[in-house]
Amino acid sequence: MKKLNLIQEKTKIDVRSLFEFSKVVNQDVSIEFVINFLLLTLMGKLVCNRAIVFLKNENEEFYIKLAKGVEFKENSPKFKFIKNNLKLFYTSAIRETKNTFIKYLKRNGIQFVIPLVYRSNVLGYVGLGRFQERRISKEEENYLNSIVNIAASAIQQKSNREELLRLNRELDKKIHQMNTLFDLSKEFASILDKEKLLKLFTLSLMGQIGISRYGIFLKEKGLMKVMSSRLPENIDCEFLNGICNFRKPTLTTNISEPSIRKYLMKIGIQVIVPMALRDEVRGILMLGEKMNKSDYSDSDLEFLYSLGNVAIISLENTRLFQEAIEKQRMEDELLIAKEIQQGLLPKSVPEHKCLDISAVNISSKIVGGDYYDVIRLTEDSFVFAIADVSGKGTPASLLMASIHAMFHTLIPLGMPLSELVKRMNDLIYDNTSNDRFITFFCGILDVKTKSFKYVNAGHNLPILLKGNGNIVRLDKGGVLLGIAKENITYEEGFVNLVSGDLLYIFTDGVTEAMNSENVEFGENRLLKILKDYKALPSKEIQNIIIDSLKNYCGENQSDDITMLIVKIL
Amino acid sequence: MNDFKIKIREQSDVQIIDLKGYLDAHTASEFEQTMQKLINEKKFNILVNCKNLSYISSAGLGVFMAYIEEVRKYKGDIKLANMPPKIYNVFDILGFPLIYEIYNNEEEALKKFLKKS
Repeated sequence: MKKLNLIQEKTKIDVRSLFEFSKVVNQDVSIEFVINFLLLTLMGKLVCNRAIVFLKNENEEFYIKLAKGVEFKENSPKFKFIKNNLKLFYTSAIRETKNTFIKYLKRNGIQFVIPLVYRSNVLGYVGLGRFQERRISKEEENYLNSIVNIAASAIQQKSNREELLRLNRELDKKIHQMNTLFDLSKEFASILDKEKLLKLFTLSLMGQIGISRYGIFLKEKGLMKVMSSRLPENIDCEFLNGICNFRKPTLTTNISEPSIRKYLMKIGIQVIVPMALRDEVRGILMLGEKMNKSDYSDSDLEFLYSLGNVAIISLENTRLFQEAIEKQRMEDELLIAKEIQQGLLPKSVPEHKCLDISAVNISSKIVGGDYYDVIRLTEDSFVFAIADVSGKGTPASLLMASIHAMFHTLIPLGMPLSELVKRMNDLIYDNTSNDRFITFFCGILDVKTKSFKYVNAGHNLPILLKGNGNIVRLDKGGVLLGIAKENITYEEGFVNLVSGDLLYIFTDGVTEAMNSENVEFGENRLLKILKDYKALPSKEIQNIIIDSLKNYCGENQSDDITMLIVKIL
Repeated sequence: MNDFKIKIREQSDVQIIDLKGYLDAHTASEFEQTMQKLINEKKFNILVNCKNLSYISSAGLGVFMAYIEEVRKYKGDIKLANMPPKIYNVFDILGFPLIYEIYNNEEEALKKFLKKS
């Protein structure tokens, strides 16, 4: 009777203890607390001096979560599941000497092990050891099973909750990342200044990822260049070009090429992120270690990839915008240059009762390298000049302006034309590089004597169409201007003109104009027009030639066109 | 949106920056200039009071990242205080509490600065 009372009394205590335990662990406490409380309760109740708890990690391995009376370190060994053991077992009962788990338990004085089971799933193991190796009683075992069951269910519950909290946090972070991306896309699109854009990009990058070391590299004219960097050293351009083949954000540790991996590790880069535009890698982001020492997560990499792609589009836009501005500025300047150049050409041709003169200059670019001039020397004498500078556009136009200045300086000095042209040649030779030439023709027409003196310095031969239909080419002179100075002289030519004669002076833009089949307009077509229409006023002949050229070439005029027509009335 | 103000006070060799309003893409540069100015003046003990901060974007957080290393190199620090829960949440999500000391109030943060010196 007394014994029965004792058993009843003991069972009562056990039940109360279980109830207390259950109450405590089901409160809002951590897994660590549950385990600690479990071990303390068991050690006290079953008089154990060694207790240990293993929990299962995501790799299905068991690691030491907590131990009392057994030494353990942070990096303690991990063990595999012990098969077929869903119930209490004694370590001494297992004969397998190779099992490292059992060996570890025996070595540390753990005599019996109870699995933490929740719905047939082993969450972990509780191991206990006593001073004296004695088996536990039936009552003790019942108690042990009950309390471990309660603990297992509490641990499962709490780990579910922790997982939920973790997922919630992930979700929060993801939402924050999406918001950041959304905000930045909006902001980026409104910024047209590259420096400002880079500033916002880098600050957001540092803030969102929590880093202080990064490098941003962009491709310019086919080569990667540093745009913004907080890296300890400059990164070699060739190295950067070598890593353009990464299509996705890549952790340095996952780079297979050893030389790249080692170099990036050396300079503390943990991730490289390609920035692609229409499938082409246009830039690279390199990021250092996060300041909170955590690893880059998949979600970080996804965010970086999206951010990089948003940024590269905007950076490209700022570049295009800057280019457009620059182009506009150059065009504006060219238009001013064009005005200046047009100012150098005669605004109108002089009039004389015995002459019918017209002239035109059409540049293929905004500014050109052709020059012509008609200057009245006296009431009855006129100078005609034409020049074609090698090349086109702005460089040619600068030289054209020099020719104008020289010619206008030298003409009033009244020297013979042969000397004037020689002086111009020498000046050009001395003052320009060797690859710049000018073909030049000038002549003086005396209306009273109807004589025409001229010098042709390598210019395509002007045409003198006589009233009777004969053609004379004005070929006396010398070599083009600017190729040599020594032993260069110019010969003066002379022709008499009579009423009905037509003088056609032009640049090769007229005869060398090409059609779509790359066939030149040619002199024959030109001569035919001159012959057919020589009776018309010079202005009309000029227009017919221009119209013919336009018809012939279509819209693609490739060279400057200049012509001067003088009819003797 | 442009409601953003920065004020600087000095107390026992600590620069206290009061941030007010929206610290976002537009205002981050203003905050950055303030930080740069303090660093140029070799004032490395910086306490940012976030009491009246209503929003912080990642660019705003970036300003903290941009100067923390330099400040610590000179044995100073950037500490934060009086963070409204909404702001703290952003710091927390991005893992900033592991990088910066964040205090409930200015006094606590000031004490930490004084203890150090």
